Amino acid sequence: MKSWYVYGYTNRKPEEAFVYPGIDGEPVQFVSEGELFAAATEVDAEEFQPERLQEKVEEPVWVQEKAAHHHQVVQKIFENVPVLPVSFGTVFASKPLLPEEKESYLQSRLKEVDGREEWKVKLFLHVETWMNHADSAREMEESIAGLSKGKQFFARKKLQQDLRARAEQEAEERASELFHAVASCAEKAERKKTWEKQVSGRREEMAANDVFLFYGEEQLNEAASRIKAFKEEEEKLGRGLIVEVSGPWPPYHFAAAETT
Amino acid sequence: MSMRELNPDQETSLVDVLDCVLDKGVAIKGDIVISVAGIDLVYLDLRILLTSVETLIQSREEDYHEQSHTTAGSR
Repeated sequence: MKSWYVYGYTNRKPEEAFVYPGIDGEPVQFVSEGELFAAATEVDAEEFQPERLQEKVEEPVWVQEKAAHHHQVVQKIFENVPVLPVSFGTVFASKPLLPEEKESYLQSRLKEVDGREEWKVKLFLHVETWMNHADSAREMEESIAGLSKGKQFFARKKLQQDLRARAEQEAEERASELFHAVASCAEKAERKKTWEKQVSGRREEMAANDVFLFYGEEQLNEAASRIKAFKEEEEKLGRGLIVEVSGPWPPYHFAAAETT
Repeated sequence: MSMRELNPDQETSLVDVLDCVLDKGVAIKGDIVISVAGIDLVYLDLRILLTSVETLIQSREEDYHEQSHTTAGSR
């Protein structure tokens, strides 16, 4: 017995041969009975029945490996044809064909992402660098110079807290400036929740986790110039705000939707 | 100026991949889908996932080092 594991939907089949093994080793196929194609692979029905799949997804190493593979397949499709990525772990009991209303819904979503690229812009803040960079740091240090040793200790502690809060707020304002500058030349934009250090694996705080959808070279180039200008300005100031760009991503964020 | 110049090494981090693949994308619902894995990934879970993967890799590396150490020692 075979089930089908689905990667995404597209409105065109790639012109060149698409040779890529799926999650279970069987090749990825483009399955269709009409104008919408499901990029899918046959899987063992037993292995991918709900209880078994649930067991698998509780196994971190399995998830990590298969999720990375899922992305590679989606990325490959995206490099060839427009794609609506389907979330990880979607399995059909039979051929992944959809009823008409779902199909036309996905068709309209596909038109929205056709020719678009998703890009991520992240900002990381090394708070101490920003704190020490501020003029206020020196001024405040001078202001406590006349205090007694004991008082200086508490005053300095308070001062550090104030400087940190101020640094975070100033960086947040800069992050917001960048977001609006880039969003104004993007088709869609979203500010995502920032990750904690444990997730990002960085020593700096994450100050922005933005995602944009661009359509065409003009938008992309304009966004790139604005990000570059921001980046160069921050590098010149050297106050610990780091810009990181990644992409182009398949439209994971802007295709996110439920077929109800 | 192009976006690609801002991303010269084209590195894709695992966190980014997991964030996209597990948390985003189109969710197909209904009777036609027999099983959608219930990984409702909020960030807490993502962290647990990453941490446990790291721990596993680390312990494997340690095992490996121990083994290679033992092998070297027994020679």
